[in-house]
Amino acid sequence: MLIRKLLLIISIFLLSGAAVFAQSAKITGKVSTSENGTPLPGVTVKNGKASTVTDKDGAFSLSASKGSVLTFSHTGYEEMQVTVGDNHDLAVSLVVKVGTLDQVVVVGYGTAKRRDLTGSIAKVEYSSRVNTTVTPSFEAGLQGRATGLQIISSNAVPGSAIRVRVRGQNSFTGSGDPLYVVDGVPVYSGDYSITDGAINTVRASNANVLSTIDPADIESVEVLKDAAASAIYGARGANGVIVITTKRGKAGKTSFNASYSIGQSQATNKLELISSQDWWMLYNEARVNDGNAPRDPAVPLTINGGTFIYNDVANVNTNWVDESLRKGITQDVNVSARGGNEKTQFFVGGGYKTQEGILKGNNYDRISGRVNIDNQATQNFKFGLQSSISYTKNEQVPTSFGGGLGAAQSTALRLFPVYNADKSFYGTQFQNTGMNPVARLLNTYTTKSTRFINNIYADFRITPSLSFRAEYGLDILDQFEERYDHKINRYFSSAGLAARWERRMNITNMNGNAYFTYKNTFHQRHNITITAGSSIQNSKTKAIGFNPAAGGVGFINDYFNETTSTMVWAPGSTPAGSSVTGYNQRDAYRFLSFFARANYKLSDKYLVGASFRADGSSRFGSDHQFGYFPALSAGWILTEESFMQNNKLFSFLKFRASYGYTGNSEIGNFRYLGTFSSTGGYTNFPGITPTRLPNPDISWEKARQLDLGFDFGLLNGRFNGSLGFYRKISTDVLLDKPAPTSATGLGSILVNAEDVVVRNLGAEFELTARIIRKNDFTWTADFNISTNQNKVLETGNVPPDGFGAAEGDTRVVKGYPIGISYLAKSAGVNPLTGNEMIYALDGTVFDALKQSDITSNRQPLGKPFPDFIAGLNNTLTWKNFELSFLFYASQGNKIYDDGAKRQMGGFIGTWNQRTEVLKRWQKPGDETNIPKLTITGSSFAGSDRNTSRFLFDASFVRLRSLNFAYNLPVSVIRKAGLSAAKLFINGSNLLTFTKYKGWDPEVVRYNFSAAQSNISFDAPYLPTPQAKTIVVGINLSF
Amino acid sequence: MKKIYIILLGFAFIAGGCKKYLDIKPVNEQPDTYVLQTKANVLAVLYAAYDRVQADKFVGGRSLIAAELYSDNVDMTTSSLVSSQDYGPFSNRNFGIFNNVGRDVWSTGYSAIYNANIVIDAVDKNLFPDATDAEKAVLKAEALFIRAISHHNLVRVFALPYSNNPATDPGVPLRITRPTPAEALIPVPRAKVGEVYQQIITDLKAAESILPATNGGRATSWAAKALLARVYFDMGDYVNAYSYANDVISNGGFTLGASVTLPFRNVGPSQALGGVIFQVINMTGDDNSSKLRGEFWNTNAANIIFYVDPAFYLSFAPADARRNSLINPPGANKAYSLKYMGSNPVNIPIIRLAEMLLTRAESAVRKGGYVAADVRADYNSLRTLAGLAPDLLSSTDAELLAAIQSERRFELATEGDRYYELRRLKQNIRGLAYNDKLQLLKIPDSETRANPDIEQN
Repeated sequence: MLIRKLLLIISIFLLSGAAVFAQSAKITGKVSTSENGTPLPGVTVKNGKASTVTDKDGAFSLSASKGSVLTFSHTGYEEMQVTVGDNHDLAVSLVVKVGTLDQVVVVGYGTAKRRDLTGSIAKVEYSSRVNTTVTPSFEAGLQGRATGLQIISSNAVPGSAIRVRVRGQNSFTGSGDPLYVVDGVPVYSGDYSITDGAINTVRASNANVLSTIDPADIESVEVLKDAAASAIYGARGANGVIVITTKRGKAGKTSFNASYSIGQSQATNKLELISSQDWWMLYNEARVNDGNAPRDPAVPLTINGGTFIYNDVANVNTNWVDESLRKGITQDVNVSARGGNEKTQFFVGGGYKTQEGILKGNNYDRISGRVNIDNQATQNFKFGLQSSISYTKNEQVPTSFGGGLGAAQSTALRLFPVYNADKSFYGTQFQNTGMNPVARLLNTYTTKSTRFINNIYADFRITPSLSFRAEYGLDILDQFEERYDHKINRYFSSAGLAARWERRMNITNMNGNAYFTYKNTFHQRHNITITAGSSIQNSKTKAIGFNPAAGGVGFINDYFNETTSTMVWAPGSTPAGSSVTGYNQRDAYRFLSFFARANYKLSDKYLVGASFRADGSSRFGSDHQFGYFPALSAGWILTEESFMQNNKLFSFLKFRASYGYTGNSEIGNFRYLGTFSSTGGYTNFPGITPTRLPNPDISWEKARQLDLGFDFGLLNGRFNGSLGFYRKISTDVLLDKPAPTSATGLGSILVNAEDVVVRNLGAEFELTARIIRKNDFTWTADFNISTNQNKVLETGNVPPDGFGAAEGDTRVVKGYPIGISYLAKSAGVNPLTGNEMIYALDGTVFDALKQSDITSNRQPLGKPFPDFIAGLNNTLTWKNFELSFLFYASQGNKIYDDGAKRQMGGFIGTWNQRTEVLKRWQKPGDETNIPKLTITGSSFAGSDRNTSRFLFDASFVRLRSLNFAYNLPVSVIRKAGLSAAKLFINGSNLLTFTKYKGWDPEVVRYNFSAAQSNISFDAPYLPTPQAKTIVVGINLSF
Repeated sequence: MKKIYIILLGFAFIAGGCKKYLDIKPVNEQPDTYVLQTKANVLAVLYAAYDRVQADKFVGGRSLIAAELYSDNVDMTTSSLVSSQDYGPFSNRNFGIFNNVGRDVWSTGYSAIYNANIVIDAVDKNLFPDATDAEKAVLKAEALFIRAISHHNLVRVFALPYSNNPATDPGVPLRITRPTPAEALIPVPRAKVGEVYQQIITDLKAAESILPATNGGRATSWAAKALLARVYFDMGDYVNAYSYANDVISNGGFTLGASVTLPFRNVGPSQALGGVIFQVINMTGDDNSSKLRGEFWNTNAANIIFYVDPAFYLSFAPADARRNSLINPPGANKAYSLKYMGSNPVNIPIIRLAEMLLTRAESAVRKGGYVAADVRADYNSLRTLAGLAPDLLSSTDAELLAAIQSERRFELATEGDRYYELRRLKQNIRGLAYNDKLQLLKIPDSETRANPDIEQN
């Protein structure tokens, strides 16, 4: 404040002085954007009353005297003042305005100015804020940049799933993911890989088809959070809507941009495991504890399918974790051109990214291109297209329970060598090779996806106030999965033969929108905007594939490894018909919707909005196909009132409130029908069997949401922010209601239980501060913090174990958040006996010796969701330097480390152990939290021995992104014919502050269904860590 | 120009007329309303019921495994067994509701019963007019057989024996109608053991008179009668057990064949050598024998989970072919059974002539009024086939019963008979009384989560 006043005083002083004494001189210069250094045409340059506008090269010329202050202004950019000094050739760089009131925000089927919004919408200026060179999936770049948005990358695997939750979680069985809309058209998100774990050997890390979208194409991302904003998307709005707007052309000289970056990534953390010598010592200690003699180290022993004589392998200490991890190289090339004239504007971009994951063998490549064109054909007719194509090749490797790094931390004992003495792989040749992750790398699993996201639009202006827009979008995903198993990892009879599995899947998703927009102002005070129209969607999925018919099928010899005709019954097998079996699959759904929205503004002070959508879907029975989703909202701009006119503090203050209904229809297709499917034949006659019980009453999940908020600007817009509160109640939550298996053999019936209720209650605060704004030094800080309290109010009397899809031991329990851990509460280790003690439900403490001790004393423990998440981003520019860094914090959540119970539970026998185990109980009196080691008790160590000993605080603060850039001086780049050149270095996840002892506190468990994703996300099992990446690059504009 | 706007307006709202647009049907699965209208489909539902019986999770696999692990033929100290999440609890008698053996047997068994009930319901309601009355009667009889064998396996695995207290001991829920979706949500308590056995007998009696004598690998009248003999034997009703066993032996035309290995080497529906009366059919493309072949036997013998108990192995006579041809002697690995072996599918015998002979012999003694030589002849036929000298001496009740019971253990080793034999005889089983619930699998979570008040083991 002081600085600003001081500046003002100095300016006035200089200005007045200049007016009297100074001599006028011709000042020339060039204005560019700080975003990428491209020239900025149309900037108004003012010197007192005199003014000019920059030309298409961003150049201007104006007469001014030394000491006079030039003001540079342009819509969407921060106003900049420059005092004329001795330099008469100025290079001015304007900063994009963030969070300001004139900002245009994309709402469903239209746009609005931020000051007029009555709903809760967060906007992320993606292209100017996020360094897109690091991760392939754009969602990762949103972390910490908006309130009410929780983003967790599953792990460092490129192209893996990213968990996105808008304002908590509502569903158990239905998907909890938001709806993604790209340039007005809903697109597919999620994982479309083969679901059969026997075929897809890499299922332990979920894939993410949104990674087919090149983040470098994205201009901005809006998150529609409350009902006023998302009810226009009706039955798909309950989980929030993420609206992506891609880059568009701009009138003016064609500007080219090219960038290249290269970087390296490595694991953020490594789990410490004990050596093989310690393992053998503890193994024998456990045997003695169990009343057995230690193993004779000279006698062969078989563990996990690996046979060894300890004396022969006593010096083997294979570090399977290091054998599975690497430092991966990332490269990213991006070129684009944007330009056009008054009538036609275009953006053309292309990118190539190649990323080596931190897991050996895990590679991700993407090549993508985009053309966006807008044409104003006549005064009243505009049309255009947004068209993108991308090809991704994702070479995946097993991890978690699938092997690889998962095996390295579990069943790949450090006693096992990588190679035998004869250089062949240890443990192969018809044994289980799962415990030799290096041998397993000879197998490959590659997903090649081609994705087109195209849409065309036509805009008619029927009268000056009435327009019509038609949009047609086509989202096509063509995904090809190929699995190849090397012969060394195949164990049929006496000879292994290599084999191949393939599947091709095609999703065609067509979407048409047609709507009218009426905008008018009456008597200069009454502003009305009405939008009404309809939308249809038709989506089809087809898949075709083949598998080897049996374990005895493989390629006839080593030369062949591609075509099915060369895959035969192996010598020694019993040929039974075709050596290859094929299959196909189909699925489809449709939507038919009508929507309307009306906004009314009185005297720029009072705002009222209403929206309505009627959504019909093929997913529901004929009596329940349509759902209706209304929302109401209102706003009051207090700073327009006369009583606020004289206040110095608030430059803007708006109060807003909304209430409305949204739905969730993401439950899969045809779930209302009872079905039989063709499985289970006998004596080679086909059988058909019931696969699902009918429930024609299935309908949408309903969410009703109340939202209250203030948007404010302080001190003439120097600080902008908002504070909001919401309450979201979800009812009719879809639930696989458990049925007694004895009734039908089927475990459940899908129902919308009216008495199943989930509540999300939260508060959000964000603040943007333009702390310093001088020509050679600027500092902007964005801070946001969100808290969400998730609570299951009613479960329809379904007991915790009724949520059977839950992996680990996470459950749904009345009165607790979704995904609460359901465990016996550990009371530590009894110093006298060395047994783990637990709390009985009545609070007494006893030694847990039986499985039933654990299962009958389970109680809800832990905290699946953080108390708050926060992001703090600072952007500083000084002369030609730019520095920005984003801290992200997640505080208070706990994760249940599902693998730890076998890595440090006190059971030894088949798994590697964490170093904590060295502090195990050995004799009466030992105070420790690792019980007496045992082997025979290990059946008791299975999935049922879940105690709070493995529940860990996963709070963390992380330096999510650090970006440092240097813009080459104008004098240098002009010689090179460039308009801007920038060198940058970017680091992600460079620092992490956490107490968590496992791999990485930012983790999501793999899942096979929406239910698991909703309930078991917080119970990681042998997880893969995150990546720490450093990238250097150059960005040229010309 | 105006026309264009009208067209646009029409386009914006045209879809409104077409509710049909939303009526699409699945192609991977068949809506249930279409299914039961043809004989072919009802038959396919019946095949799926057989498939459940065949499944390695039920009669053709884990039901048999559970019975073996409950008793004393298998070496319960093998480390891979002890450390197995599923099998370890059989060793230390420490079962949880999540045990996968319990889950598999329960859900697969009741799935077989549900499919059988659909067939019975379709016949009773005459839903498919394209079959003759005779065809319908056979379909229903086969479904009754499946319902009976499934209830019988379930009540044996999950309940105390009939020999304890059938009038008051909880058995398993009886499921003898096809529930509607609403009814499927309603919990049903465990019927008494005696009620379950009565229903099994009712179903089998209704089936046995209608089932054909041969049926391409599916249920036959002889299978129903043999199962009745087994059920009555379980119940200690030796008059009926004798009667049905005798009928099967005398009139069924089954022969033991020339080798003790024959019953265990049949493949497909057309083979039933060695006096197999009912078997689950495994063949290439539809194989459920790999679990038994992988756990009682294995291409890598070090990976076997169920080795033969060493003391039991030693108790065989050295010349016994059932030891020498059906058990691999201890060496690098412990002794293991060769009844389920090989890399290829093999049928799993469920009821064999040998069992009927032993049942008839013991029932004859128990009911009284027998000729000792006839009784000896029954079990001597098995001894002779095994290359042992016939027993010519046993003549008192006690001598004969001891001889029969000894023979029964050797003959039916690792076929899931031993446990039910010990319970019928009220003998201790690996240190626990025959009626101690501690040795039983728990009613699994898949039932208790929707039926929390069900009486637990």
